[in-house]
Amino acid sequence: MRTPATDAPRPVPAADDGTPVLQVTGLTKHFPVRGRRGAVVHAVDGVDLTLHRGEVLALVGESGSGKSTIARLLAQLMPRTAGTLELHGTDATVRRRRGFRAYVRRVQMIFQDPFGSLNPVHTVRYTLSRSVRIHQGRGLRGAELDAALRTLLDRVRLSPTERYIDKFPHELSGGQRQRVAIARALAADPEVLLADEPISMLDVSIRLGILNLLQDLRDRLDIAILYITHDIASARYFADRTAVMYAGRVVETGDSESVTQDPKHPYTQLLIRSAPDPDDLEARARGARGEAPSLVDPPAGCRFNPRCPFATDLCRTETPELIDVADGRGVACWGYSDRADRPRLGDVLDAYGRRADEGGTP
Amino acid sequence: MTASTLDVPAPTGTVGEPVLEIENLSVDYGYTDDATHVLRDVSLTLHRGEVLGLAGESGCGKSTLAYAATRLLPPPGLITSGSVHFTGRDGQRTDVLRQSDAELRASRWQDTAIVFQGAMNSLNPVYRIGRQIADGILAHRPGMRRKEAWDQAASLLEMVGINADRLRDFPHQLSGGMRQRVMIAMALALDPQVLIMDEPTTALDVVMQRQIVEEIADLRERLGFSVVFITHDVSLLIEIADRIAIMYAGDIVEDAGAQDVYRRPRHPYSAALLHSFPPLRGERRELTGIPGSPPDMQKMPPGCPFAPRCAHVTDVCRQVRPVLGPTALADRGGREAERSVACHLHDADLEGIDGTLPADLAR
Repeated sequence: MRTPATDAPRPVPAADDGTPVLQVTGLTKHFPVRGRRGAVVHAVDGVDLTLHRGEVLALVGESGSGKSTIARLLAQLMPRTAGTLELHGTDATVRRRRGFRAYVRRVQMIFQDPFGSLNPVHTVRYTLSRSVRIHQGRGLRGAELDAALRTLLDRVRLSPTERYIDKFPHELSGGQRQRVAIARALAADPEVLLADEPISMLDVSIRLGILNLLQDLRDRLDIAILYITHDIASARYFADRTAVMYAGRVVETGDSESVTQDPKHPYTQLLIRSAPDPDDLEARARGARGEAPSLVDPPAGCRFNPRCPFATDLCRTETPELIDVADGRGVACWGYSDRADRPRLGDVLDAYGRRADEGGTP
Repeated sequence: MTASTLDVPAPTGTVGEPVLEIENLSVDYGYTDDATHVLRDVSLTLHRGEVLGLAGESGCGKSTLAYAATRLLPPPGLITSGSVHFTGRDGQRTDVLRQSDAELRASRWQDTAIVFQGAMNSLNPVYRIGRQIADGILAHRPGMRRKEAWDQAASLLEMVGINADRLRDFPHQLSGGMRQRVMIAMALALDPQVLIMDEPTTALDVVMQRQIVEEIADLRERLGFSVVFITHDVSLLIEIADRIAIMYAGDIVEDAGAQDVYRRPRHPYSAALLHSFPPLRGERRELTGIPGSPPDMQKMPPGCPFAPRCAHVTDVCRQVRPVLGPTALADRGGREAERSVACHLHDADLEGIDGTLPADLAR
């Protein structure tokens, strides 16, 4: 049994030769539509993701783009329709309860709502003890258990620990509650943390505190973190790499700085040009129209084509794969392929401005 | 966007004269002696044709202020003191808090319309949206024929960029962004002078948020109403608002032009709040947010509510509650003279304040 009493990095497993901690390929999830036989919601389609030790990967996209579904699939809270999931290079699909528990010990999840994810009738001590005893051994009790709980609270910066340990969730603020939820996840001493919008329910002034805490945990414990968010500015601040999702597919990947400063995919460009930025009021995408497509009958070809100002027939018929455009950067857009019939990409700002002037709404 | 067939009266009244004046408004939650004082002597003026942003964290009283000013506060909310005056297009000044129920009913929607928080879910799911808009119009225009009201509903929908043939749709057939536009169309149905929007874009993603925000800016330009825009997203406010009032724990701590707040914040909380949003551009640097968490309104510390989290706190801050007043730099004149701030650092006459502002508040 590992003791969580020290903050020293875990002994490196023998398999660590650059193998990703968690890797999914061709991840797909289709939900059946009630009342329509054969119809499915294409929530996630053919997504490849890799998570490395000590790295934060941000998954950015609008609501309904499949971000949270991916988190739940990675946590194996529901079965996937297709695709493989590997933990340290070996298939990690769980079928039984025992296998699931062994998996959960290594891959933990933090949820969006710290008001809903902690049981209101139990104290912090109870909530954390449960997790510690499940993951570190039922025999743990007395002073040993107490020490383990204090270490956990210290790690999430809830000190002095005596002030928090016997509190009920309603006595804590949102940020403190989220810290307890993180401590509970850390009790398993996981290798991967799946954080599904961990800050979007919190007050704006304490969001950065939680992000800084997660960043610190990544550095000290060498955890791989999947950070799911709709706020691309926070992805830039917190994540090493960023993957942008649109309508169930990954449209762009790369290191966060290049993805946010030099977006390649027209959707990423639109996303970044739409975010409020008081320093750059002029370069905002005005006059953009349209909405994400229905995922029951997603458009053929590139799913962004109905909204894309540069779309051609190629985009409307064939689905683009991720194309390497620079070191470590991939873009799922035909504009970056070497095909003769590829669309010519321009500046989204100009394109949307022009379309607004013409008065046309697609 | 197609020109609306709705006959829109030209904006009347000069820009700049007050349309909604809130003075010393105090609100309690609870009726007993241990009631929570949520708003304490808040004063705020909305001018004609202005977009006023109300910013602050959750629970700081932004929505309470808006609902109290329109007398929509649900129990146990209680207005304990203060006044709210509304000035109509004809220049007549009415005290909203003293209106009878009948007068209030007539003036609501007509003078002041509200787009509620989570407006996407405030449409009735069992009625077609055309009927819901028409009902609102008919309630205020007795004698109008239903057909006429539907026609007007159609032109309202087109005004917010939705095709009029969606009138016969049910709410579930529309996307979130479209439902939000329907709510805005409804709010504008009677050509109100004040539009209060409570977090109208929070549930939407950024691309849709931008579309809605542009829509509002565009409509305001054409119809000339004033907007109170409530949100916690300060960066969005800086973009759309003319003036911003920043609230903290039931007080307005700073009230100034949008760009002024952003470029030269004068209150430590405004400055810290602006540094709580990671930037999308520019240098990547370590940000800290604000240490601690917002105070519990039931156990408010004496003195300045921000004192426990403030980097520039002095002894007097922990004892005396600051009130909104001119900044220490008001003698610079111009826009500086028009701003106000509730912070002891700006009051050089106080004991323990040496009159020099910290560098980040004196830009």
